Amino acid sequence: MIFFINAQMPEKKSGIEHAQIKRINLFKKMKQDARIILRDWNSETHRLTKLVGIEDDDFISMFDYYQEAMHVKRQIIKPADLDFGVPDLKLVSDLDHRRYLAETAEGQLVARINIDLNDDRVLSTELFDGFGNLYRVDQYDYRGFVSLSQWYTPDNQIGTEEWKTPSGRTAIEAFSRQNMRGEMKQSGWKLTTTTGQVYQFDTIEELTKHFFDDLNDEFWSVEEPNIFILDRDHLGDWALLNMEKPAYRVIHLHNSHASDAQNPMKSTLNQHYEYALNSMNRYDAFISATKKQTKDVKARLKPQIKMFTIPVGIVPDQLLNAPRIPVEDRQFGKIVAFARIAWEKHLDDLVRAVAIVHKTVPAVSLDLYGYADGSNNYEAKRLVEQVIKEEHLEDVVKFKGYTTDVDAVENNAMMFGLTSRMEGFNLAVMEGIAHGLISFSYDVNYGPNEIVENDVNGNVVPYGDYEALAGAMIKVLQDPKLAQKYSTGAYDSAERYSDANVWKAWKRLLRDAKASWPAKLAAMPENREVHK
Amino acid sequence: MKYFVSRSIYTFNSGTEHSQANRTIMFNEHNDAARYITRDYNRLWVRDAERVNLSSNEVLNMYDYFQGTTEVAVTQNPIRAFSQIAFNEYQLVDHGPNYSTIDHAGRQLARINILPGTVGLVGDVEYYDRFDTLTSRDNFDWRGFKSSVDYFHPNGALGSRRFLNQDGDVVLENIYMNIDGQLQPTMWKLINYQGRDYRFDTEDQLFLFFLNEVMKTTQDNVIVSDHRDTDYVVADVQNVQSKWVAFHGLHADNHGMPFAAFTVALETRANDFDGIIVPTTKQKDAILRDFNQLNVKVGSDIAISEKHLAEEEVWLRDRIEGRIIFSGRLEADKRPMEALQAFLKVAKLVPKATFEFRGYTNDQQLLNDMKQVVNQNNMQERVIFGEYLTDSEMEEFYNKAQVIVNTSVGEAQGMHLIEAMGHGIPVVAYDTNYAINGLVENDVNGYVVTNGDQDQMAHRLQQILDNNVLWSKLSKAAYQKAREFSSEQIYKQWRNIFQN
Repeated sequence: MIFFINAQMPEKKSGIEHAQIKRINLFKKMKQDARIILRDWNSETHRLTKLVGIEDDDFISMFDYYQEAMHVKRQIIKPADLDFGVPDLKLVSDLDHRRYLAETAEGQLVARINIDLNDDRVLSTELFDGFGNLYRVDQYDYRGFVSLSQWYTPDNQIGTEEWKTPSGRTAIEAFSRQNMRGEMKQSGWKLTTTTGQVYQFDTIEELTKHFFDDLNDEFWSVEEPNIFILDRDHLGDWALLNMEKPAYRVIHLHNSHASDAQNPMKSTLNQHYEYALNSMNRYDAFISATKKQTKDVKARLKPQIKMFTIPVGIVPDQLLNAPRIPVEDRQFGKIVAFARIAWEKHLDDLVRAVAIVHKTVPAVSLDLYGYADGSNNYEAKRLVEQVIKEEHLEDVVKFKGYTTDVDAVENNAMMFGLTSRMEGFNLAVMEGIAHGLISFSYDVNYGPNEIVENDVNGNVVPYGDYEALAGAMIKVLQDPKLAQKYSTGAYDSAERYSDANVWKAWKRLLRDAKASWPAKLAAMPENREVHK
Repeated sequence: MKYFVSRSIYTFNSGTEHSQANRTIMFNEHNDAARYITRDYNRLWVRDAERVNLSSNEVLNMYDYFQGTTEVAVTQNPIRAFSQIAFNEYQLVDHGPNYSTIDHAGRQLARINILPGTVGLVGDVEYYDRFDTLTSRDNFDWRGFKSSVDYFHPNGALGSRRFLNQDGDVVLENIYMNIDGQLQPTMWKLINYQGRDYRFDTEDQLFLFFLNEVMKTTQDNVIVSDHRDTDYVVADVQNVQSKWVAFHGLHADNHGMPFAAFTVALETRANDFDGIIVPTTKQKDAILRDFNQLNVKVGSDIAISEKHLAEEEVWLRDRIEGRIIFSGRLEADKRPMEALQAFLKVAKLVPKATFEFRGYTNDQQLLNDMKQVVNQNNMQERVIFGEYLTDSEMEEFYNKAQVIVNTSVGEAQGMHLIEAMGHGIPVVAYDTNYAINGLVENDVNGYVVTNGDQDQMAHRLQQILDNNVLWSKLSKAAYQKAREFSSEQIYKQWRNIFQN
């Protein structure tokens, strides 16, 4: 079995989640069994996965696994269904706080029932004793059972957390205690298996290791190894390195390995990958999304293990085969950018380039699609706004927020702008070329300077040189033939990220895993030749 | 069904539990079904019941009832075969007879305390976190199954206890939170009891619910509250034919002022009961003097089984010559120090005299004081402070003794004296309320001496020990006196009370 390991599938996804969703869909299409592993607990896990088309059979949540809750038929629990063990309760609605209050006839609070306003479904209950103490909060799984009970201390802190099976058996417990410095810390984990064995762990990482071992046992095969691909390092790097039995263990880089992607050989290692990179040879393989990064990692760290380049973006056949839209049918001068308005995206530079273009080609316009990052009180957005104001571009540059209708926007626009400081791949510009957008990017690691090919599907200009970026744009805007050449080049270059091509890259890894297996099996003590 | 209600059966029991157990056995021997009902949680109750000769189907404990474990047989759960331990991951390390630890990479992750009084059976499992603090505890029943799980607040105090059924489901939760800044149990919640949850603020509210549920399961119910803590709960029980309170001790002080614990039965809830049952006519009369509207009946706290009465008498030559005994709690109201002082006087005059105390104490100071007196008088060889004995072990204790002394401030019935006489032991006792004068007749089966007069007590003891003919006469009469408390007689007495 092949496992793609992540924390959760949150509503606001990063590139890692998008990459996993595309990957699992590719594997399903290629009929290669695989599972997304979600290590962290969330009451809404099964709603969030369903939302992005991940079926219950496509993923294993660690908590579900031990809570015997991988496949549970959903039922909706309404406030009136609850039994608090107190007669003649009345439910007082407090919808401003998204809850009902369960009170006795005398008005004593027995429970707060927090609900989803859309369907009146119970999300959690806060339970009180007869003396007004909050003693427990029960968190309901999306599928309608109490998944987590949080037991409170007399001073109103969470003391014990208890995850239960749908039938109510305690499966996992976590405890919180003060350490010697008086700080409240998670101090221990306890797992009770279906057969009643009890395991104790200091940290969730130790529990994660146990989980990986259980998965490895459950899906064990002498034909081929289980493949564990870690998409978020901190979740399981220690666990993967300490598994009991052999497996094929892979670290997937989703970002630059160096803290300064423009200085990949000398700058300090990206702290998220530092541990994994310093123990590279203890894994079976590393994956990076671009050839360039693979080359740089090899040059810098000189690993003895395999490195694979596998794009994290996949352009679906449907899009590749869609009718191509000629440049003349597009809105002349329309540039789009799809990126969070954040410091590392450096969109104020893009606006500076557009300001220069605007002086020569007044028809140019820029639409910014994406959430504004709240860091430093929306500093990135304020920087963009400042340039707009200085250059009087209020009618030229627009904040469009988040959109799900990418096809309509990109089939209408003409160009795609990208001025990031660093990237791990950049799915957005890949989608841009797949829609025939002419792309302009800084020469930035990793992804933009590989997805955008200079003079093929647009232009790559030196990092930070927005004047050069503007010059390249003006050239294209003034030359319809060149524009059509780049747009055609964009459509063509998207072929690199077709299902078939990405799958080819994966097959190389799968083959290597299988090839490694006989030696790994033979090295197990139980498989050694015994000379009698 | 007859229901005799109190708090518990303990490892060390007082007269209340003994008389209740004795009565339960007596009724069941007469095919008049009776149950000893207990409120408190005691996962060792099956063992404790056996120690007072009760079989487990004669006892009904509240927690056991809700856990659905009333009919579970004893199975052994040895730690070396303990299914909760992953033996391929952890090492079970022996630390002597009382506990073992579950070790991993040199650290003790958990501690298994051995079930008291057994060799290597699982009693409870304490789990520790990485700060080595106690996080939770699995409590095992004497019968071998996991009965409850405790969780602790971060400061180490008990935070909640969850009671389990045989499938391991939580059927009852008990939580500990603050009331006015004091940590205490604040909630009992029955989970899915016949399809519903029930929340209670106090254990006694749960107890009343329990009693009412039990009363629904049988006909012609007669209920007796044997413990003063349960009187106000039993007062509210429904579906009973008659409802009684049984006293097992003095209800009032020397000035006739009722003790606080007795006011529920005598005053505030008196109307909710059909009557009060006391062991002696003297106590009945004393109550009626102050509460003449009450229905007070006499029912003995003790019955001697026909089987025991049929046994051969034990001759002096088969006893330990000079052995004086004291039986009962070593606490202030029993005045064991006075008995000891009287013995010290005898000891000087009768070289063969020895003295044996049997009974538990909650008053360690008193016990230490007594031991000190023994040491000061160099009497360590002649004064024995024995362990608490089970009912069957008591047989041997009595059969070896020559005289029993009683120095209590008062005896409602003096069960232990009747038991002793049932073993042919003459009594030397202080003259106190209510039972002594009805039990002991001077120069017939013992001697009653002036309350507090150690010299007189010593004198009578010396007389008995020095005169085998006198002893034989007193012993025969003691056996005879015990016959008045034959199971046959006492059952009739109780049956008549309930039939009225």
